[in-house]
Amino acid sequence: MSTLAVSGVTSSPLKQELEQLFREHYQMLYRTAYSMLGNSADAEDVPQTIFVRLLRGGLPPEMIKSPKAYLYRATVNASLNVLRARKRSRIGGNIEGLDHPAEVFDSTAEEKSHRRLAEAITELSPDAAHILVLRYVHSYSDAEIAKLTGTSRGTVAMKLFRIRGRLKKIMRSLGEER
Amino acid sequence: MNLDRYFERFRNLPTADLDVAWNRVVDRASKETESPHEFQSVSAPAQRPSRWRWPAAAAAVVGVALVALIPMTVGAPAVLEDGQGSRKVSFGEVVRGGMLRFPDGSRVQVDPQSEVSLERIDDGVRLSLRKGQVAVLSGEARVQQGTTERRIQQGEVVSTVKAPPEKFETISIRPYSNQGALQPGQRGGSGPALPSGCSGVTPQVDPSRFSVGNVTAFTLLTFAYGTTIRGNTGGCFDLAPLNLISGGPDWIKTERWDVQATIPASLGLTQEQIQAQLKSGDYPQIKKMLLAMLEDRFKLVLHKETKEIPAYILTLDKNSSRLTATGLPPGMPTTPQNVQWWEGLPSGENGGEPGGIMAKEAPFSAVVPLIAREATRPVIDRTGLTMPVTFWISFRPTYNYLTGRLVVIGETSRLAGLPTLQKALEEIGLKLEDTKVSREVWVIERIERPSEN
Repeated sequence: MSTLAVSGVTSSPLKQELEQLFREHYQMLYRTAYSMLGNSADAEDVPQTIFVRLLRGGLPPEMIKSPKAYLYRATVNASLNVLRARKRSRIGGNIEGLDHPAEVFDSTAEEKSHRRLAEAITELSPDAAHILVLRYVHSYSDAEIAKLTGTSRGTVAMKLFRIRGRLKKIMRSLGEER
Repeated sequence: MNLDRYFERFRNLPTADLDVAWNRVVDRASKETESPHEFQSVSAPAQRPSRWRWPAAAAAVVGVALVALIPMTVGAPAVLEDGQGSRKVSFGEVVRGGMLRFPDGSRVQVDPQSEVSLERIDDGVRLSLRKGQVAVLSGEARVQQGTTERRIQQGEVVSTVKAPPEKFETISIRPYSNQGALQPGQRGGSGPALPSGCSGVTPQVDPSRFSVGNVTAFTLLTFAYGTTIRGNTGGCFDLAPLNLISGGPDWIKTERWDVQATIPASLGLTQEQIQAQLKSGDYPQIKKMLLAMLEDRFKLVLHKETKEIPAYILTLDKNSSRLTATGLPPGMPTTPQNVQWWEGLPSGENGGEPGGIMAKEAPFSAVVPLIAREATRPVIDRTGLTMPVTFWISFRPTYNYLTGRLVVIGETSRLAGLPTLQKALEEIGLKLEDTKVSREVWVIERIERPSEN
């Protein structure tokens, strides 16, 4: 015998909608944050914090048009803020709680190189960081990046070219050259 | 500079546990300010003399305020820069994460999990820190707590959060002894053994104490791993069929112990919070304490790996009219319990009984673990059902949670004609779809009987 009675099904529409968006995009956002921050604790915290704010404050108008683009941009921006705060804390003194060790670096030489690259990425503008992560972490094509960012393929190609050049320049100034 | 090589490691990260992550979001969004925490600050010498002095102080919960001698300006007292850009912050508005920039150039970094609001005072702006942590990035701050005042320099951090305790204060572990005689050679006590290794016990937990009797070491391991603790048929029985804990000698599943431990007062959870955590399976501090206890007293050594394991996604067929049925299904036994599960005996023993799940006005979240147990896989609930459900399904049993063994049903068995679990669920509008999830797996390398108290 199999029957089902449901006593009433109601749930906050905002919460339901956000949960759906969360389940759809969280993995991508987590990967984005992790690629910038290098540790799982911060990488979990950044997108979760974004959703906590959305749950409390509702959906901003710019999110309704393209939730994926909005969430992705918010994640990159928040990750950049964390990176910059880490950097400031290193300059200002040993501030606890603003720095989690990176989990992903292996050998010493590679680690040094990658730390410099991670630091160089913090010097990029948010726009440049967005495009960089879309290309190198999520393997988006120029066309896909163009669609997500609302620009043209040609513009994306040019921006990537400039980003790589800028990173090289920053890393040279940080003492790294390859 | 090889960008591909640098980013390669981030392309294939383990799949996140979406249920756990979403539950954290909901929990954080609904939490209110906790009871006052002790004021705690971490100081570091300022690297440069402050360009501008503002007698402001980062605030703790009670009686501590951050006062900024920022000239009153008409309009917003500060600008917040965070992941979504820059915007003005009003008095009374709660800020959760980001950097506050004041008209004079002073900057305060607000930790993402903090809550800070701006208050108007006679000679400036006061930052009130309800919880979390702030760092003064530039300027100088004056902190008041009660009658004590001190200056916070640029580069210093103020926090209301103390690191949570990670160990029980005292622990007592004794062999379990009941009224009956001990089995020969069995140090842990007598009583019917459950081959699954689960004791079928419920720990008693309150803000000062963790206590469980007649418990196997394996059951303690499942509690340390993390499982919903909701009565003596939950918890370990839910986890055991998933084979997420392996290794170890036989005695960890047969010998039993009485465990009493005291929880440090600084844990800071109420009874209601503890019970909610145990029911949901998300009790991080208590898990840490249990694992530390197993390592200290049972000399546990294990290694952890992440594996992709088969799972199911549970969805609801919204077009199904069966979901609108009301009242108890005919023949459904009345029971005072909200959720009842019964497990058929393996076929061949006393004729065997069907598997079944019965729920009477039960929250659907309490039913999902029962489905997972019978399916012997994690089940991810995507039904969206949040209100109580009533249903009763019978099916061909596949797993006996008492014995910990799969059930084999012969072709001539009277149970052979019953629907499978999947079919039985489909009849009421629920569907199981194959998927994979990443789960942490514990492999026991070493464990010993507990040391003397």
